[in-house]
Amino acid sequence: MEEFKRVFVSRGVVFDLCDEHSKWHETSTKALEGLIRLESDIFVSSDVPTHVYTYLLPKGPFVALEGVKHTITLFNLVPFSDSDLEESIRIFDSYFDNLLEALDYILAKKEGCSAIVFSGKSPALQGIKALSTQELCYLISP
Amino acid sequence: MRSRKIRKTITLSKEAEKLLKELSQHYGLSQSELIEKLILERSKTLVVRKRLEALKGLVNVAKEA
Repeated sequence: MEEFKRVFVSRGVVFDLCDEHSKWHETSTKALEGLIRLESDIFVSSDVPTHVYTYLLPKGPFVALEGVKHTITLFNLVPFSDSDLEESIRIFDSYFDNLLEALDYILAKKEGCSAIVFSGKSPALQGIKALSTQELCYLISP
Repeated sequence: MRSRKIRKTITLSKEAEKLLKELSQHYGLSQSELIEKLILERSKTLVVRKRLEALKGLVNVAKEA
């Protein structure tokens, strides 16, 4: 599946994986497993591992560090600059109600990804295929 | 950009050497190209395994009390 060779995963999907009570925990896990089996290159924003650390810290520092190690094994990190953030702020009103999702979109395009996967629902975007984890599961399930 | 090649001496059993010759003729590749292709294929499998383990690890971390 050439269209899923380079896929950007929005941070919401990563938090679904870290939260077993999330409504989308199972779906996001299945979607990620599908992408790994397709040998896709999977990208996330470079700030995601530290957010995972903060998110898991209430479970204890050891658990939080384990989460970070797994995150950096699982994903390729995409760094961002001031101008990426400025661009995210500029477009954020047009398509997004969340600045970080706007940043994920900017980074996905910068990295040349053919698709970006969101947790729950996906916004209609220009120049890149936007999918929810549910839609992705439907497309890549054997 | 062309990647730099590295000369490497390897030791094979007679049986493996025979198979290497057969395979390289069959696929129309030099023995070096064939070995490189096999290594890259096997390494993809390893990467998939490591990433599946990481996914499982992250999901298990979520279940920690």
